[in-house]
Amino acid sequence: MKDQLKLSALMRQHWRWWLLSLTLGAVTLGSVMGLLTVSGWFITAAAAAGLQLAGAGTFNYFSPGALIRFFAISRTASRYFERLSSHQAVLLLLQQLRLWFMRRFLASSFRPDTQSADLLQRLITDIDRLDQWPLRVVAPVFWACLISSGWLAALWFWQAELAQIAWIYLLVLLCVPVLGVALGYHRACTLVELASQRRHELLEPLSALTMLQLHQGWSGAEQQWQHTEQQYQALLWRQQLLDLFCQFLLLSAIALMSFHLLVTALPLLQHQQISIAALVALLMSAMALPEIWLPLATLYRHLADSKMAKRRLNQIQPATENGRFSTVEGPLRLELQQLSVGFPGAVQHTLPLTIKLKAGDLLWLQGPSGAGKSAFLSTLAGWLPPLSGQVLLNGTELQQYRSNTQRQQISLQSQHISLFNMTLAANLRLAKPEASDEELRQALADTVLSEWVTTLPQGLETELGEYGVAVSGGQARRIALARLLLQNTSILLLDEPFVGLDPTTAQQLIHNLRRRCHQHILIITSHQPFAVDTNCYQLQLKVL
Amino acid sequence: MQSLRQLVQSERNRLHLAIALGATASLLMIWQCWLLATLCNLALHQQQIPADLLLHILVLWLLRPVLLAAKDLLGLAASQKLRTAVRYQLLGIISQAGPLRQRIAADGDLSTRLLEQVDALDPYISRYYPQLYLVVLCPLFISVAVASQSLLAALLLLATAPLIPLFMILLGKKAAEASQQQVQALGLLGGRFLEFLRGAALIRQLQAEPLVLNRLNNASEEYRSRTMSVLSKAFLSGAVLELFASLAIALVALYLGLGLLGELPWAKAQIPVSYQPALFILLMAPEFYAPLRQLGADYHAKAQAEAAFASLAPIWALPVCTGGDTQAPTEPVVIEFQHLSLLGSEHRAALLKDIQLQVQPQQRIGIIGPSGAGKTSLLEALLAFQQPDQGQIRIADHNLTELDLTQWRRQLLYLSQQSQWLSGTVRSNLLLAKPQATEQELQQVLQQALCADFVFALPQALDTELTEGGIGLSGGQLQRLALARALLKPSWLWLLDEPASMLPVEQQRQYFQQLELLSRGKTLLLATHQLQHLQWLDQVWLINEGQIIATGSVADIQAHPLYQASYSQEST
Repeated sequence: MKDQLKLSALMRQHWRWWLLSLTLGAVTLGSVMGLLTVSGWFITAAAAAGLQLAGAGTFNYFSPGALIRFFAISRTASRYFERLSSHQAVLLLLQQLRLWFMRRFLASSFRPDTQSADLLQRLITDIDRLDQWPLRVVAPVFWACLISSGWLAALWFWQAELAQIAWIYLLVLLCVPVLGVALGYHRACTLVELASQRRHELLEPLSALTMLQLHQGWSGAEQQWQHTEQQYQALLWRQQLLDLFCQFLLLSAIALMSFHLLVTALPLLQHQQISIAALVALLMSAMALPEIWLPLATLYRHLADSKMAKRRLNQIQPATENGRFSTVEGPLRLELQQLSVGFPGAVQHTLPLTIKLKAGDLLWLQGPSGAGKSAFLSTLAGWLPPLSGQVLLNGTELQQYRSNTQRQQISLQSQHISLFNMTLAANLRLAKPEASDEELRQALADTVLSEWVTTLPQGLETELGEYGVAVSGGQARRIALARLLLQNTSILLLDEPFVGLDPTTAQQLIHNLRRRCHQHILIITSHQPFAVDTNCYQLQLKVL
Repeated sequence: MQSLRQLVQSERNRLHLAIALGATASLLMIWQCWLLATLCNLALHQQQIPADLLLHILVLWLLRPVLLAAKDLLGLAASQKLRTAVRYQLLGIISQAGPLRQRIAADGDLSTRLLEQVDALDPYISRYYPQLYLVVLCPLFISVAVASQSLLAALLLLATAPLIPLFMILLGKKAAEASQQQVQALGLLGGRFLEFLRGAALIRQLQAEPLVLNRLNNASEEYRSRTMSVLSKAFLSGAVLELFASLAIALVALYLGLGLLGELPWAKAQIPVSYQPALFILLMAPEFYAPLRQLGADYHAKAQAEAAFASLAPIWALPVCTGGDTQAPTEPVVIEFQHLSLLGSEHRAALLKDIQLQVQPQQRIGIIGPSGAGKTSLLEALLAFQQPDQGQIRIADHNLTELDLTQWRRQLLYLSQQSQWLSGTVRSNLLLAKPQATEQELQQVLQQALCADFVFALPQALDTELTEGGIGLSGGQLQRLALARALLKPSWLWLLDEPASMLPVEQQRQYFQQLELLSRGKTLLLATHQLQHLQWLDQVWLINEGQIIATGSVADIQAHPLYQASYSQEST
């Protein structure tokens, strides 16, 4: 598969922030260790000096004192800035990810409908989940390795014998996250999949709840869901046990290491090879290790989560371009030859239909709901392949044109209206960014909205949608229609444009449309009949 | 259920045990610090280290992770038990609520609440709740231990202690504010992102991709700068707390060290705290602040859990009807609406107002009125999902709410406006109504419901796969198929909600003729928006704005001005 999501490529663009947050994180953890180490060393050395009364006066307590204060402040400051810079880096990454995904989604052939709300929501969650990779996987591993090796190096420099012991234990510590991955990675992936299965198994019977209750079918469906739910919870429980087990292993290994170091160091102490102050410093520094290593206990889970999220995002693939022609030549002609349509997976399709249309023509398609009107228009717009027969645009099969060309020539207003939470003008200018206010007003006048616009205090700059003025279904439909008119394609396909309009407005609208589109082909579906006039064809869509 | 804290009470045994274990672990830690300090003191004075001291230290060192793991395990077990119980309870309420559930949210949203939102309670139960106690207990133990050795050091630690609740409040407020603002901003951005994804087909159509990407980029940019400015303030209060902790540890260390050197300005050449207690105190100092830092870290999870709980609250509040154990009649009986009123969700007006009607056994009644008049509510009232707000429905001698509802619903044939289907074959969907139905029975009901012609024309006939929601067949075909399915179940009360609305006009006539034959001997309530082909009804009720306007024969109602007004509008 080509064109996979590469997080590293997106992160590289802001590598300075990532580097900064990794560095500051390391400084923070280093300061934590430093503070404990120096304090332990300081009071022990002070006590030792206090024992030899002569030494007390000469003991330099200024530099360790300064170090202690320094570590106290650097720990706080670096943690604060680490949090800020890592959030900055993550937000930048998420911004890149959203743009990447939007670009890819728009380039795909995926058409969201009312059924896909759930899927979209999950894709958004998946995007947000990808920040786990740098935050919960890369950074903790980096810090643990860096700080531990620094600690080990210092130990080696000081007492190689102790370092040899520590080295073994650190290797054991490193094995714990590996063990976690070995034992838990697969299960964590299964859990992600099972989570969507349990959702699906709940959602389906829930949407048919009343029917199931009346037919005594609910308890069966509920039991089936409970079965999946129990399976999910059992797996989740085992995952949580593994988390605790890994944490326990890490803590115990560090405790054992500290003990082993202590026991080994005591004889050295007796032979005066090392000082008691240094031994205490060593023990104190080991006390900082759990904070550094504990995040690695759940590493496998975050690895699996980000992997699965990435996989799902990668499932949206850009559509391949099949068309060859990019220009449409000659006067406008649209021919349907024995065309039969249907949605993929549908068990029924429409009876074959043949008609020739030229500029200025209006085709009025009538039929009861479910007869395939929407599928018919989708096929004419090139969104669906014909089941049989052909759609010819100026003599060439529609699918032979490049998809951009198809969109420049044909526009479809589906029953599902998309108005965005932007101003009225911004919504309209999506179709024609350079349109003047005058053009916008004209388009709105043509869709019989002038009066409505004059009632708006802010006119074209009125915010629409959730946070702006409420628009009725009929108004939304006409705003969307005005937008389509601005795009000025040669063929306009309108699916039930008159729903929710009173007869006078509908009449006015159709009159305006015919006037504005006298050089275009108009195809309108409606469940209502229409009085035929010149250049106007009426067809009844029939289902097999 | 009023609050999250109350909810947690049912698992308090496990959770209190977890708290006890956490407190014990903290006591063990204190003991261990003492032993380590003893050991170092012996070493400092170059004395022999007894072996049992070493053994002691080892055991304690290993015991603490065990206790902590056990504490976490208890928290997790309590959380899982509680969440499962809550989830099953809520699903039970939703399943009893039937169509009432749509008042709260769409099904997709409801399942999110049942699954993800219930799971979002986990950190509160398993971590935050025990931590609330430990954050008081652990520092208390430590300060007592420190005070036993050095009052001044204890004072140094405790001097920051009153700051702790102060900062907790400050931190909590700030964090809550910050997370709220962030959630809002994220919601705005997420909303924009989602609406662009939803409108993808349109954006491609308009070739507005660059414009949209640009807008999205601006929105993200704005979100980022806003979030960063909020966070820089929110983190600051955390940092101040941390600074206090660090400085307090540093001060304690300096005080103890200088004291050991006899260099304290106010006590020259004196040793106020000797080495062993000094090291003991120093070892414990970081632990003094650890629970507090943990609580701060879990604060976000707590805010999330509270938001999740708030989204669950309306489900508990649904006015569902649970029924009683009176046997439901299995033959047609008199049904009487006695001053029945039903209210919609809080902000909506009454669905039904003071309905006062009687249905004789085997009477066939049409219910007509403009859309939104209350036809569906009247039919749904007989399904007994909603507790009436006023009045009641009498079934023979009993209130509907006293009946065994499972058994009552067995007596009903109900067709909703939107027929409901599961993914599977046509056959498996039909068999939902009667799992043991024979092939012959299936053929018979298909014929009765005028489905035989199109079902058997399908290449795979009864084994044709229906996708979820019944996509694949037209609305009219699904409506007839729903009737076929309902006919498999013997029932005496038929409730039909615009059962032929999606059929073409000529098929509607045929459908209603067939219905007339099939429904003989049944009590029938038929909601419809027109009375063509329905002359055979015994009575028609005209309903508007939740009230019965008129009752009478088909001809009476057809002559009614309201019917004529709405009917003439339909036909234009």
